[in-house]
Amino acid sequence: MKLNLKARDWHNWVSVILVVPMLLVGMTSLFIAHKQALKLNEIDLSGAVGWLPGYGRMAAPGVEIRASLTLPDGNQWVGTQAGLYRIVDGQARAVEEIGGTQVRDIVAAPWGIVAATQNGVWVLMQDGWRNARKGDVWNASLNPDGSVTVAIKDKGLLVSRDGTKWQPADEVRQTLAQLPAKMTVAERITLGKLVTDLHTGKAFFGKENMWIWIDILGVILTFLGGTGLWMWWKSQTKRRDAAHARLMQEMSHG
Amino acid sequence: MAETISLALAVLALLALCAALGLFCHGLYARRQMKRYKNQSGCHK
Repeated sequence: MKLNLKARDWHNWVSVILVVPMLLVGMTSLFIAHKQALKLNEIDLSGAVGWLPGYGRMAAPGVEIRASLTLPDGNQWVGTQAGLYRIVDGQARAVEEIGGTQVRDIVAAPWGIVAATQNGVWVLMQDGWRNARKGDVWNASLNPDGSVTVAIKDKGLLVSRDGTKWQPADEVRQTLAQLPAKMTVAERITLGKLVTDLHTGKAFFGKENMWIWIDILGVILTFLGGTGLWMWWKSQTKRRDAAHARLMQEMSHG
Repeated sequence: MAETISLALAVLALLALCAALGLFCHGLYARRQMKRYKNQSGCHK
């Protein structure tokens, strides 16, 4: 088989072969840019995506430990990458309500146990576990007065004395806001972070508006992929039709 | 509401990807047919 590919042929064939992954990347980037607005992390598809090779290992119970709490009675709670477990007499029992969610912190308050998870603040009270606050919770800490403070992404600190009512800890925010600009600790920009921020557009548009960069590039990638595929398909069918017409013509002329 | 819109958009994107995959496969098929017609055409010359 003779293989004589010119630059144009290389360009054509590589782009044709990669057009579907290219469209996939373009479209998914648009979804990622608006992940919060579309509440994508609240749509559970665990049961539907198990066939994907990348989720084969993730289908097994998560064992990557993220947090731990030992109670005076010896019982232990363990938070993992994918759920919360209670260990009693050497047996681990999963908490169904928090299954599949990353548990980052566990705190024992006088009124119940608080778990800081990726999908909110969960509180164990007399009637079982319930989601007290939604959000991406970084951590939880017990205060000397028995209240619990949680840090939630984009919302700041919230404090509760009973697990039911959560009040913003505005005094901390105000204290930090009073800091002179010189006193605030600047974010450390490493080469790794710069490369990531150039890629995501954060370096140009900032965290709040980097969706603009992603949207522009995602739409262009999808548009170029779609139009490229369409032009290739048209050229192939046109050439086929021309070859067919030529064959018919030859056959009719004997 | 946001979840419904997200799912609808995801289904639309999936359909678009399936259409792209279909177009890709049909393009390859058309190419194969073209080669066959060209071969047959060669036999008739």
